Amino acid sequence: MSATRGRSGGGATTSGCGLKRRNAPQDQEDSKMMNQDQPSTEDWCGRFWNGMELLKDVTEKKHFLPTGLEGIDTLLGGGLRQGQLTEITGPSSSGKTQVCLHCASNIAAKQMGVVMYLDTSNSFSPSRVATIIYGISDLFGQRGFELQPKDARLKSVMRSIICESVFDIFALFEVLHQLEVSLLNDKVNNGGSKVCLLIIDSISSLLAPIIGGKYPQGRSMMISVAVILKKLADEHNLSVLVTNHMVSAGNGAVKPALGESWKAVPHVRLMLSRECQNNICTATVLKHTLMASGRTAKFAAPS
Amino acid sequence: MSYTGSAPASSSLYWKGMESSGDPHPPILAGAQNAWDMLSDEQSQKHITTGSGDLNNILGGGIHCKEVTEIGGVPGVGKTQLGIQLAINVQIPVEYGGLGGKAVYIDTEGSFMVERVYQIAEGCISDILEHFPHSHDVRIVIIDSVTFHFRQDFDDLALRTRVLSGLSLKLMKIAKAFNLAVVLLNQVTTKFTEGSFQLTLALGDSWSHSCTNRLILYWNGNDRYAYLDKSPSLPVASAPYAVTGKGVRDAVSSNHKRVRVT
Repeated sequence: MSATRGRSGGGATTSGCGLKRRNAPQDQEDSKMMNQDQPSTEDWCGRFWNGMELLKDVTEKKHFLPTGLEGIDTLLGGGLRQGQLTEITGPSSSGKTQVCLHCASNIAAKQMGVVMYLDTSNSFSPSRVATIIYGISDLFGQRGFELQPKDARLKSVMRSIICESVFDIFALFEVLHQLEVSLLNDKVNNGGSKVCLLIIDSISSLLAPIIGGKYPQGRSMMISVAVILKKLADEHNLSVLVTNHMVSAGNGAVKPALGESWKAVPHVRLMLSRECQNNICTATVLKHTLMASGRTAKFAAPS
Repeated sequence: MSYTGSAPASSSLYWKGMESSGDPHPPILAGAQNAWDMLSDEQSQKHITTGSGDLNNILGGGIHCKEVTEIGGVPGVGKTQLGIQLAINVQIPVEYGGLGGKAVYIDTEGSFMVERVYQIAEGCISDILEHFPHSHDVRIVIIDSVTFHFRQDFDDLALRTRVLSGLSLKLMKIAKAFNLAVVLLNQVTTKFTEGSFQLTLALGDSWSHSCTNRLILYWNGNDRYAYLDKSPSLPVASAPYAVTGKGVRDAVSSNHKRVRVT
Protein backbone atom coordinates (compact mmCIF):
# COMPACT_ATOMS: atom_id res chain seq x y z
CA MET A 1 0.00 0.00 0.00
CA SER A 2 1.43 3.31 -0.96
CA ALA A 3 0.32 6.71 0.16
CA THR A 4 1.46 10.08 -0.91
CA ARG A 5 2.53 12.80 1.45
CA GLY A 6 3.31 16.29 0.25
CA ARG A 7 6.83 17.31 1.09
CA SER A 8 8.76 20.41 0.11
CA GLY A 9 11.05 19.14 -2.61
CA GLY A 10 14.41 20.72 -3.37
CA GLY A 11 14.14 24.32 -4.40
CA ALA A 12 10.56 24.81 -3.21
CA THR A 13 9.79 27.92 -1.24
CA THR A 14 7.31 28.26 1.62
CA SER A 15 3.71 27.73 0.79
CA GLY A 16 2.15 31.17 1.22
CA CYS A 17 -1.42 30.37 0.36
CA GLY A 18 -0.50 26.82 -0.57
CA LEU A 19 -0.68 27.60 -4.25
CA LYS A 20 2.94 27.08 -5.36
CA ARG A 21 3.66 24.22 -7.67
CA ARG A 22 6.69 22.18 -6.89
CA ASN A 23 9.17 20.96 -9.48
CA ALA A 24 6.81 21.69 -12.35
CA PRO A 25 8.37 21.30 -15.79
CA GLN A 26 8.77 24.45 -17.88
CA ASP A 27 6.10 25.22 -20.47
CA GLN A 28 8.44 25.07 -23.47
CA GLU A 29 9.61 21.62 -22.60
CA ASP A 30 6.07 20.47 -21.92
CA SER A 31 5.36 19.11 -25.36
CA LYS A 32 8.78 17.48 -25.54
CA MET A 33 8.22 15.75 -22.23
CA MET A 34 4.78 14.58 -23.27
CA ASN A 35 6.33 12.65 -26.11
CA GLN A 36 9.15 11.23 -24.05
CA ASP A 37 8.87 9.45 -20.68
CA GLN A 38 6.17 10.99 -18.48
CA PRO A 39 7.46 12.83 -15.41
CA SER A 40 6.94 10.51 -12.47
CA THR A 41 4.23 11.52 -10.04
CA GLU A 42 6.89 11.95 -7.43
CA ASP A 43 8.27 14.93 -9.29
CA TRP A 44 4.90 16.61 -9.04
CA CYS A 45 3.86 16.05 -5.48
CA GLY A 46 6.68 14.67 -3.40
CA ARG A 47 7.76 11.33 -2.17
CA PHE A 48 5.47 8.36 -1.74
CA TRP A 49 5.58 6.76 1.69
CA ASN A 50 4.69 3.16 2.13
CA GLY A 51 2.46 1.96 4.95
CA MET A 52 5.31 0.78 7.21
CA GLU A 53 7.16 4.07 6.93
CA LEU A 54 3.99 5.96 7.77
CA LEU A 55 3.35 3.74 10.78
CA LYS A 56 6.92 4.23 11.99
CA ASP A 57 6.64 8.00 11.61
CA VAL A 58 3.38 8.07 13.52
CA THR A 59 4.48 5.88 16.39
CA GLU A 60 7.91 7.44 16.81
CA LYS A 61 7.31 11.08 16.13
CA LYS A 62 3.66 11.96 16.52
CA HIS A 63 3.23 11.91 20.28
CA PHE A 64 0.26 12.88 22.41
CA LEU A 65 0.76 16.14 24.28
CA PRO A 66 -1.19 15.90 27.55
CA THR A 67 -3.42 18.85 28.37
CA GLY A 68 -3.11 18.37 32.13
CA LEU A 69 -6.90 18.07 32.50
CA GLU A 70 -7.50 14.40 33.19
CA GLY A 71 -11.07 14.19 31.88
CA ILE A 72 -10.08 15.72 28.56
CA ASP A 73 -6.91 13.69 28.19
CA THR A 74 -8.88 10.46 28.60
CA LEU A 75 -11.48 11.58 26.07
CA LEU A 76 -8.77 12.45 23.57
CA GLY A 77 -6.90 9.18 24.05
CA GLY A 78 -3.85 10.75 25.69
CA GLY A 79 -3.95 14.39 24.73
CA LEU A 80 -3.45 16.57 21.68
CA ARG A 81 -1.77 14.57 18.97
CA GLN A 82 1.16 16.04 17.10
CA GLY A 83 0.45 16.29 13.41
CA GLN A 84 -3.25 16.86 14.05
CA LEU A 85 -5.57 19.83 14.26
CA THR A 86 -7.82 19.75 17.33
CA GLU A 87 -10.80 22.06 17.71
CA ILE A 88 -12.56 23.02 20.92
CA THR A 89 -15.97 24.56 20.52
CA GLY A 90 -18.55 25.70 23.02
CA PRO A 91 -20.83 28.55 24.08
CA SER A 92 -19.45 31.67 25.66
CA SER A 93 -17.70 31.24 29.00
CA SER A 94 -17.73 27.42 28.81
CA GLY A 95 -13.99 27.08 29.48
CA LYS A 96 -12.37 27.06 26.04
CA THR A 97 -9.73 29.65 26.93
CA GLN A 98 -9.08 27.88 30.23
CA VAL A 99 -8.37 24.61 28.41
CA CYS A 100 -5.95 26.46 26.11
CA LEU A 101 -4.16 28.07 29.06
CA HIS A 102 -3.95 24.71 30.83
CA CYS A 103 -2.47 23.05 27.75
CA ALA A 104 0.11 25.77 27.29
CA SER A 105 1.11 25.68 30.96
CA ASN A 106 1.31 21.89 31.11
CA ILE A 107 3.47 21.54 28.01
CA ALA A 108 5.79 24.34 29.10
CA ALA A 109 6.05 23.00 32.65
CA LYS A 110 6.96 19.52 31.43
CA GLN A 111 9.59 21.04 29.11
CA MET A 112 8.19 19.34 26.04
CA GLY A 113 8.93 22.30 23.79
CA VAL A 114 7.95 25.84 22.97
CA VAL A 115 4.27 26.83 22.91
CA MET A 116 3.07 29.41 20.42
CA TYR A 117 -0.15 31.14 21.58
CA LEU A 118 -2.03 33.37 19.14
CA ASP A 119 -4.63 35.41 21.01
CA THR A 120 -7.46 37.31 19.30
CA SER A 121 -9.35 38.64 22.31
CA ASN A 122 -6.65 39.74 24.76
CA SER A 123 -7.56 36.77 26.93
CA PHE A 124 -4.08 35.39 27.48
CA SER A 125 -3.57 35.90 31.19
CA PRO A 126 0.04 35.48 32.39
CA SER A 127 -1.04 35.50 36.04
CA ARG A 128 -3.47 32.66 35.36
CA VAL A 129 -0.69 30.71 33.63
CA ALA A 130 1.59 31.25 36.63
CA THR A 131 -1.15 29.97 38.97
CA ILE A 132 -1.64 26.86 36.85
CA ILE A 133 2.09 26.17 36.69
CA TYR A 134 2.39 26.42 40.46
CA GLY A 135 -0.41 23.89 40.72
CA ILE A 136 1.30 21.27 38.58
CA SER A 137 2.51 18.89 41.24
CA ASP A 138 5.51 17.24 39.68
CA LEU A 139 7.05 20.45 38.37
CA PHE A 140 9.72 20.60 40.98
CA GLY A 141 10.73 17.02 40.42
CA GLN A 142 11.95 17.77 36.91
CA ARG A 143 15.61 17.23 36.31
CA GLY A 144 17.69 20.35 36.62
CA PHE A 145 15.04 22.13 38.61
CA GLU A 146 16.04 21.12 42.11
CA LEU A 147 19.01 23.45 42.19
CA GLN A 148 17.15 26.57 41.10
CA PRO A 149 15.07 28.85 43.31
CA LYS A 150 11.31 28.74 42.72
CA ASP A 151 11.17 32.03 40.85
CA ALA A 152 13.86 31.03 38.40
CA ARG A 153 11.98 27.81 37.63
CA LEU A 154 8.80 29.74 36.89
CA LYS A 155 10.78 32.13 34.73
CA SER A 156 12.34 29.43 32.57
CA VAL A 157 9.01 27.66 32.17
CA MET A 158 7.09 30.79 31.22
CA ARG A 159 9.76 31.81 28.77
CA SER A 160 8.85 28.88 26.59
CA ILE A 161 5.32 30.20 26.09
CA ILE A 162 5.29 32.82 23.37
CA CYS A 163 2.18 34.90 22.87
CA GLU A 164 1.21 37.18 20.01
CA SER A 165 -1.99 39.14 19.48
CA VAL A 166 -3.59 38.69 16.08
CA PHE A 167 -6.61 40.77 15.13
CA ASP A 168 -7.28 40.05 11.47
CA ILE A 169 -6.91 37.25 8.95
CA PHE A 170 -4.05 38.86 7.05
CA ALA A 171 -2.00 39.22 10.21
CA LEU A 172 -2.66 35.53 10.83
CA PHE A 173 -1.30 34.60 7.42
CA GLU A 174 1.79 36.70 8.10
CA VAL A 175 2.37 35.13 11.51
CA LEU A 176 1.96 31.59 10.14
CA HIS A 177 4.42 32.41 7.37
CA GLN A 178 7.00 33.67 9.86
CA LEU A 179 6.46 30.58 11.98
CA GLU A 180 7.01 28.33 8.97
CA VAL A 181 10.26 30.10 8.08
CA SER A 182 11.46 29.83 11.66
CA LEU A 183 10.63 26.11 11.81
CA LEU A 184 12.45 25.46 8.53
CA ASN A 185 15.50 27.27 9.88
CA ASP A 186 15.34 25.23 13.06
CA LYS A 187 15.30 22.07 11.01
CA VAL A 188 18.42 23.19 9.19
CA ASN A 189 20.27 24.18 12.37
CA ASN A 190 19.08 20.99 14.03
CA GLY A 191 19.00 22.13 17.59
CA GLY A 192 17.34 24.30 20.14
CA SER A 193 13.85 24.21 21.53
CA LYS A 194 11.30 23.62 18.87
CA VAL A 195 7.71 24.77 18.77
CA CYS A 196 5.58 21.71 19.54
CA LEU A 197 2.15 23.28 20.16
CA LEU A 198 0.35 26.08 18.32
CA ILE A 199 -2.79 27.48 19.93
CA ILE A 200 -5.13 29.91 18.17
CA ASP A 201 -7.77 31.36 20.52
CA SER A 202 -10.05 31.91 18.80
CA ILE A 203 -9.83 31.23 15.11
CA SER A 204 -13.54 31.79 14.59
CA SER A 205 -13.34 35.46 15.56
CA LEU A 206 -10.80 35.97 12.76
CA LEU A 207 -12.78 34.03 10.17
CA ALA A 208 -16.34 35.11 11.04
CA PRO A 209 -16.03 38.65 9.64
CA ILE A 210 -15.03 37.44 6.18
CA ILE A 211 -17.28 34.43 5.64
CA GLY A 212 -20.63 34.76 4.00
CA GLY A 213 -22.32 37.47 2.09
CA LYS A 214 -21.28 38.37 -1.40
CA TYR A 215 -17.59 38.03 -0.58
CA PRO A 216 -16.56 34.60 -1.92
CA GLN A 217 -12.87 35.02 -1.03
CA GLY A 218 -13.75 34.56 2.63
CA ARG A 219 -14.38 30.86 2.33
CA SER A 220 -11.28 30.29 0.23
CA MET A 221 -9.18 32.14 2.82
CA MET A 222 -10.64 29.90 5.52
CA ILE A 223 -9.65 26.82 3.55
CA SER A 224 -6.18 28.29 2.91
CA VAL A 225 -5.69 28.77 6.64
CA ALA A 226 -6.84 25.19 7.20
CA VAL A 227 -4.35 23.86 4.63
CA ILE A 228 -1.46 25.86 6.09
CA LEU A 229 -2.23 24.74 9.64
CA LYS A 230 -2.47 21.09 8.69
CA LYS A 231 0.72 21.27 6.66
CA LEU A 232 2.60 22.89 9.55
CA ALA A 233 1.26 20.23 11.90
CA ASP A 234 2.24 17.38 9.65
CA GLU A 235 5.66 18.51 8.47
CA HIS A 236 6.97 19.92 11.71
CA ASN A 237 5.30 17.59 14.22
CA LEU A 238 3.21 20.37 15.72
CA SER A 239 -0.04 19.93 17.50
CA VAL A 240 -2.48 22.66 16.55
CA LEU A 241 -5.31 23.62 18.92
CA VAL A 242 -7.99 26.08 17.82
CA THR A 243 -11.13 27.34 19.50
CA ASN A 244 -14.42 28.00 17.81
CA HIS A 245 -17.55 29.67 19.12
CA MET A 246 -21.18 28.64 18.64
CA VAL A 247 -24.02 30.21 16.73
CA SER A 248 -27.72 29.60 16.79
CA ALA A 249 -29.07 26.81 14.66
CA GLY A 250 -32.75 27.68 14.82
CA ASN A 251 -35.32 26.67 17.45
CA GLY A 252 -33.02 27.65 20.29
CA ALA A 253 -30.38 25.07 19.42
CA VAL A 254 -26.75 25.98 18.92
CA LYS A 255 -24.10 24.66 16.58
CA PRO A 256 -20.39 25.36 16.07
CA ALA A 257 -19.64 28.41 13.96
CA LEU A 258 -17.85 28.57 10.58
CA GLY A 259 -20.30 26.32 8.77
CA GLU A 260 -20.18 23.07 6.88
CA SER A 261 -16.89 23.67 5.09
CA TRP A 262 -14.99 24.00 8.35
CA LYS A 263 -16.58 20.87 9.83
CA ALA A 264 -14.29 18.58 7.87
CA VAL A 265 -11.11 20.48 8.66
CA PRO A 266 -10.12 19.52 12.25
CA HIS A 267 -9.02 15.96 12.94
CA VAL A 268 -10.54 16.00 16.41
CA ARG A 269 -13.45 18.12 17.61
CA LEU A 270 -14.45 18.55 21.22
CA MET A 271 -17.48 20.45 22.50
CA LEU A 272 -17.53 22.02 25.97
CA SER A 273 -20.48 23.17 28.03
CA ARG A 274 -20.75 24.43 31.56
CA GLU A 275 -23.67 24.41 33.95
CA CYS A 276 -23.85 27.79 35.68
CA GLN A 277 -25.06 26.52 38.99
CA ASN A 278 -22.45 23.99 39.94
CA ASN A 279 -19.36 24.72 37.85
CA ILE A 280 -19.27 21.27 36.25
CA CYS A 281 -17.94 21.18 32.68
CA THR A 282 -19.03 18.57 30.19
CA ALA A 283 -16.86 17.70 27.21
CA THR A 284 -18.30 15.80 24.25
CA VAL A 285 -16.31 14.31 21.42
CA LEU A 286 -17.84 15.40 18.10
CA LYS A 287 -15.19 13.87 15.87
CA HIS A 288 -12.09 11.73 16.42
CA THR A 289 -9.73 9.81 14.16
CA LEU A 290 -9.17 6.78 16.34
CA MET A 291 -12.10 6.46 18.71
CA ALA A 292 -15.87 6.61 18.58
CA SER A 293 -17.48 10.02 18.85
CA GLY A 294 -20.28 10.93 21.18
CA ARG A 295 -18.41 10.03 24.36
CA THR A 296 -18.64 12.56 27.14
CA ALA A 297 -16.76 13.31 30.31
CA LYS A 298 -17.69 15.55 33.22
CA PHE A 299 -15.14 17.30 35.34
CA ALA A 300 -14.98 20.17 37.77
CA ALA A 301 -14.16 23.50 36.20
CA PRO A 302 -10.46 24.19 36.68
CA SER A 303 -10.00 26.62 39.54
CA MET B 1 9.97 9.04 23.39
CA SER B 2 12.23 12.00 23.79
CA TYR B 3 11.54 15.69 23.97
CA THR B 4 13.97 18.38 22.93
CA GLY B 5 14.99 20.52 25.87
CA SER B 6 16.53 23.99 25.95
CA ALA B 7 19.61 24.55 23.83
CA PRO B 8 22.85 24.24 25.79
CA ALA B 9 25.15 27.22 25.50
CA SER B 10 27.64 25.39 23.31
CA SER B 11 25.17 24.41 20.59
CA SER B 12 25.27 25.88 17.12
CA LEU B 13 22.09 27.74 17.90
CA TYR B 14 23.71 30.02 20.49
CA TRP B 15 22.05 33.29 19.84
CA LYS B 16 23.72 36.67 20.19
CA GLY B 17 20.80 38.26 21.96
CA MET B 18 21.08 35.69 24.72
CA GLU B 19 23.82 37.64 26.49
CA SER B 20 21.71 40.74 26.93
CA SER B 21 18.33 39.27 27.75
CA GLY B 22 19.30 35.82 28.97
CA ASP B 23 16.48 34.31 26.95
CA PRO B 24 17.55 30.96 25.54
CA HIS B 25 14.91 31.05 22.79
CA PRO B 26 15.68 33.16 19.72
CA PRO B 27 12.69 35.24 18.63
CA ILE B 28 10.36 33.15 16.52
CA LEU B 29 8.03 35.98 15.68
CA ALA B 30 8.77 39.66 15.39
CA GLY B 31 5.97 41.02 17.53
CA ALA B 32 5.58 38.27 20.08
CA GLN B 33 6.40 38.32 23.78
CA ASN B 34 7.07 35.40 26.05
CA ALA B 35 4.79 34.75 29.00
CA TRP B 36 7.36 35.78 31.63
CA ASP B 37 7.76 39.28 30.18
CA MET B 38 3.99 39.58 29.89
CA LEU B 39 3.67 38.61 33.56
CA SER B 40 6.03 41.41 34.59
CA ASP B 41 4.08 43.87 32.43
CA GLU B 42 0.79 42.69 33.86
CA GLN B 43 1.94 43.09 37.45
CA SER B 44 2.80 46.72 36.84
CA GLN B 45 -0.60 47.45 35.27
CA LYS B 46 -3.01 49.67 37.16
CA HIS B 47 -6.73 49.04 37.17
CA ILE B 48 -9.51 51.60 36.92
CA THR B 49 -11.53 51.63 40.14
CA THR B 50 -15.30 51.48 39.85
CA GLY B 51 -15.95 53.33 43.10
CA SER B 52 -17.30 50.26 44.88
CA GLY B 53 -14.81 48.11 46.78
CA ASP B 54 -16.85 44.91 46.38
CA LEU B 55 -17.14 45.45 42.67
CA ASN B 56 -13.41 46.10 42.41
CA ASN B 57 -12.75 42.83 44.23
CA ILE B 58 -14.67 40.63 41.84
CA LEU B 59 -13.01 42.43 38.92
CA GLY B 60 -9.54 41.80 40.32
CA GLY B 61 -8.85 45.41 41.30
CA GLY B 62 -11.00 47.24 38.78
CA ILE B 63 -11.43 47.48 35.02
CA HIS B 64 -8.31 46.19 33.26
CA CYS B 65 -6.47 48.06 30.54
CA LYS B 66 -5.66 46.21 27.29
CA GLU B 67 -8.97 44.33 27.62
CA VAL B 68 -12.49 44.82 26.33
CA THR B 69 -15.09 44.61 29.10
CA GLU B 70 -18.78 44.30 28.33
CA ILE B 71 -21.31 45.49 30.90
CA GLY B 72 -24.94 44.57 30.37
CA GLY B 73 -28.18 44.83 32.28
CA VAL B 74 -31.82 45.84 32.23
CA PRO B 75 -32.61 49.52 31.76
CA GLY B 76 -32.29 51.44 35.00
CA VAL B 77 -29.83 49.19 36.78
CA GLY B 78 -26.96 51.63 36.48
CA LYS B 79 -24.99 50.92 33.32
CA THR B 80 -24.69 54.54 32.26
CA GLN B 81 -23.95 55.56 35.87
CA LEU B 82 -21.10 53.06 35.97
CA GLY B 83 -19.86 54.25 32.59
CA ILE B 84 -19.76 57.86 33.75
CA GLN B 85 -18.12 56.86 37.03
CA LEU B 86 -15.36 55.04 35.14
CA ALA B 87 -14.86 58.02 32.83
CA ILE B 88 -14.19 60.12 35.92
CA ASN B 89 -12.21 57.58 37.93
CA VAL B 90 -9.71 57.09 35.11
CA GLN B 91 -8.63 60.68 35.67
CA ILE B 92 -7.65 60.16 39.30
CA PRO B 93 -4.01 61.26 39.48
CA VAL B 94 -1.24 58.72 39.67
CA GLU B 95 -0.26 59.97 43.16
CA TYR B 96 -3.68 58.92 44.41
CA GLY B 97 -3.50 55.46 42.92
CA GLY B 98 -5.30 56.18 39.66
CA LEU B 99 -4.19 56.28 36.03
CA GLY B 100 -4.17 60.02 35.41
CA GLY B 101 -5.62 59.53 31.96
CA LYS B 102 -8.35 60.89 29.73
CA ALA B 103 -11.62 59.27 28.84
CA VAL B 104 -13.48 59.05 25.54
CA TYR B 105 -17.23 58.58 25.99
CA ILE B 106 -19.14 57.58 22.86
CA ASP B 107 -22.86 58.09 23.43
CA THR B 108 -25.24 56.48 20.93
CA GLU B 109 -28.49 56.92 22.81
CA GLY B 110 -28.32 60.41 24.24
CA SER B 111 -28.13 59.16 27.82
CA PHE B 112 -25.03 61.17 28.75
CA MET B 113 -26.31 63.80 31.19
CA VAL B 114 -23.75 66.48 31.76
CA GLU B 115 -25.27 67.69 35.04
CA ARG B 116 -24.99 64.18 36.45
CA VAL B 117 -21.37 64.02 35.31
CA TYR B 118 -20.72 67.25 37.23
CA GLN B 119 -22.34 65.75 40.34
CA ILE B 120 -20.28 62.58 40.15
CA ALA B 121 -17.08 64.52 39.48
CA GLU B 122 -17.73 66.65 42.55
CA GLY B 123 -18.43 63.50 44.57
CA CYS B 124 -15.12 62.01 43.47
CA ILE B 125 -13.16 65.18 44.23
CA SER B 126 -14.74 65.53 47.67
CA ASP B 127 -13.53 62.03 48.48
CA ILE B 128 -10.01 62.84 47.40
CA LEU B 129 -9.85 66.46 48.53
CA GLU B 130 -7.55 67.68 45.80
CA HIS B 131 -7.73 69.21 42.37
CA PHE B 132 -7.02 67.16 39.26
CA PRO B 133 -3.94 68.12 37.22
CA HIS B 134 -4.11 68.04 33.46
CA SER B 135 -4.08 64.43 32.27
CA HIS B 136 -2.16 63.00 29.39
CA ASP B 137 -3.31 60.09 27.26
CA VAL B 138 -6.65 58.48 26.71
CA ARG B 139 -6.85 55.45 29.00
CA ILE B 140 -10.49 54.44 28.63
CA VAL B 141 -13.03 54.36 25.80
CA ILE B 142 -16.66 53.84 26.81
CA ILE B 143 -19.35 53.07 24.24
CA ASP B 144 -22.91 53.60 25.51
CA SER B 145 -24.49 51.58 24.13
CA VAL B 146 -22.95 49.41 21.49
CA THR B 147 -26.32 47.79 20.79
CA PHE B 148 -28.38 50.80 19.90
CA HIS B 149 -27.59 51.27 16.22
CA PHE B 150 -27.52 47.56 15.56
CA ARG B 151 -30.98 46.76 16.82
CA GLN B 152 -32.96 48.65 14.25
CA ASP B 153 -32.68 48.90 10.48
CA PHE B 154 -30.47 45.85 10.09
CA ASP B 155 -32.46 43.50 7.91
CA ASP B 156 -29.58 41.23 7.05
CA LEU B 157 -28.61 39.48 10.27
CA ALA B 158 -25.60 37.80 8.71
CA LEU B 159 -24.25 41.18 7.67
CA ARG B 160 -24.86 42.46 11.18
CA THR B 161 -22.85 39.58 12.63
CA ARG B 162 -19.98 40.23 10.26
CA VAL B 163 -19.92 43.95 11.00
CA LEU B 164 -20.06 43.31 14.74
CA SER B 165 -17.23 40.81 14.71
CA GLY B 166 -15.11 43.20 12.64
CA LEU B 167 -15.93 45.96 15.15
CA SER B 168 -14.95 43.85 18.13
CA LEU B 169 -11.61 42.91 16.58
CA LYS B 170 -10.84 46.58 15.96
CA LEU B 171 -11.69 47.43 19.57
CA MET B 172 -9.46 44.61 20.82
CA LYS B 173 -6.64 45.92 18.67
CA ILE B 174 -7.00 49.48 19.97
CA ALA B 175 -7.12 48.27 23.56
CA LYS B 176 -3.91 46.33 23.15
CA ALA B 177 -2.01 48.79 20.98
CA PHE B 178 -2.71 51.89 23.09
CA ASN B 179 -2.86 50.14 26.47
CA LEU B 180 -6.32 51.44 27.28
CA ALA B 181 -9.52 49.91 28.62
CA VAL B 182 -12.53 49.56 26.36
CA VAL B 183 -15.92 49.34 28.09
CA LEU B 184 -19.01 48.42 26.08
CA LEU B 185 -22.45 48.89 27.56
CA ASN B 186 -25.08 46.49 26.26
CA GLN B 187 -28.83 46.10 26.56
CA VAL B 188 -30.79 42.96 27.36
CA THR B 189 -33.33 41.20 25.25
CA THR B 190 -35.53 38.14 25.67
CA LYS B 191 -34.53 34.85 24.18
CA PHE B 192 -36.50 31.64 23.89
CA THR B 193 -34.30 28.86 25.28
CA GLU B 194 -35.18 25.57 26.90
CA GLY B 195 -38.87 26.17 26.64
CA SER B 196 -39.07 29.59 28.28
CA PHE B 197 -38.27 33.18 27.67
CA GLN B 198 -35.11 34.34 29.36
CA LEU B 199 -33.27 37.60 29.52
CA THR B 200 -29.93 37.59 27.77
CA LEU B 201 -27.61 40.24 26.47
CA ALA B 202 -28.52 41.63 23.08
CA LEU B 203 -26.76 41.12 19.74
CA GLY B 204 -26.84 37.36 19.67
CA ASP B 205 -24.57 34.42 20.39
CA SER B 206 -21.67 35.45 18.23
CA TRP B 207 -21.32 38.82 19.97
CA SER B 208 -21.02 37.10 23.33
CA HIS B 209 -17.57 35.92 22.33
CA SER B 210 -16.29 39.33 21.35
CA CYS B 211 -15.25 40.66 24.73
CA THR B 212 -12.50 39.72 27.16
CA ASN B 213 -14.61 40.18 30.30
CA ARG B 214 -18.34 40.37 30.87
CA LEU B 215 -20.16 41.90 33.82
CA ILE B 216 -23.93 41.52 34.14
CA LEU B 217 -25.83 43.98 36.34
CA TYR B 218 -29.14 42.82 37.80
CA TRP B 219 -31.70 43.51 40.49
CA ASN B 220 -32.06 41.24 43.51
CA GLY B 221 -35.13 42.58 45.28
CA ASN B 222 -34.31 46.22 45.89
CA ASP B 223 -30.55 45.82 45.65
CA ARG B 224 -28.28 46.12 42.70
CA TYR B 225 -25.84 43.29 42.06
CA ALA B 226 -23.07 42.71 39.57
CA TYR B 227 -22.18 39.23 38.31
CA LEU B 228 -18.83 38.54 36.62
CA ASP B 229 -19.85 36.17 33.86
CA LYS B 230 -16.69 35.86 31.78
CA SER B 231 -13.06 36.42 32.64
CA PRO B 232 -9.82 34.71 31.61
CA SER B 233 -8.24 34.83 35.04
CA LEU B 234 -10.92 35.41 37.68
CA PRO B 235 -13.62 33.09 39.01
CA VAL B 236 -17.31 33.88 38.54
CA ALA B 237 -18.59 35.96 41.44
CA SER B 238 -21.33 38.37 42.47
CA ALA B 239 -21.06 41.60 44.40
CA PRO B 240 -23.57 44.21 45.52
CA TYR B 241 -23.16 47.88 44.71
CA ALA B 242 -25.18 51.07 45.05
CA VAL B 243 -25.75 54.18 42.99
CA THR B 244 -25.68 57.24 45.26
CA GLY B 245 -25.77 60.96 44.66
CA LYS B 246 -22.00 60.93 44.54
CA GLY B 247 -21.85 58.08 42.04
CA VAL B 248 -21.23 54.34 42.26
CA ARG B 249 -20.28 53.24 45.76
CA ASP B 250 -20.40 50.17 47.97
CA ALA B 251 -23.84 48.94 48.98
CA VAL B 252 -24.98 50.25 52.37
CA SER B 253 -25.03 46.78 53.91
CA SER B 254 -21.53 45.99 52.66
CA ASN B 255 -18.84 45.09 55.21
CA HIS B 256 -16.17 46.46 52.94
CA LYS B 257 -14.42 49.55 54.19
CA ARG B 258 -15.30 52.75 52.35
CA VAL B 259 -13.11 53.02 49.27
CA ARG B 260 -10.76 55.79 50.14
CA VAL B 261 -8.28 56.75 47.46
CA THR B 262 -5.26 58.03 49.39
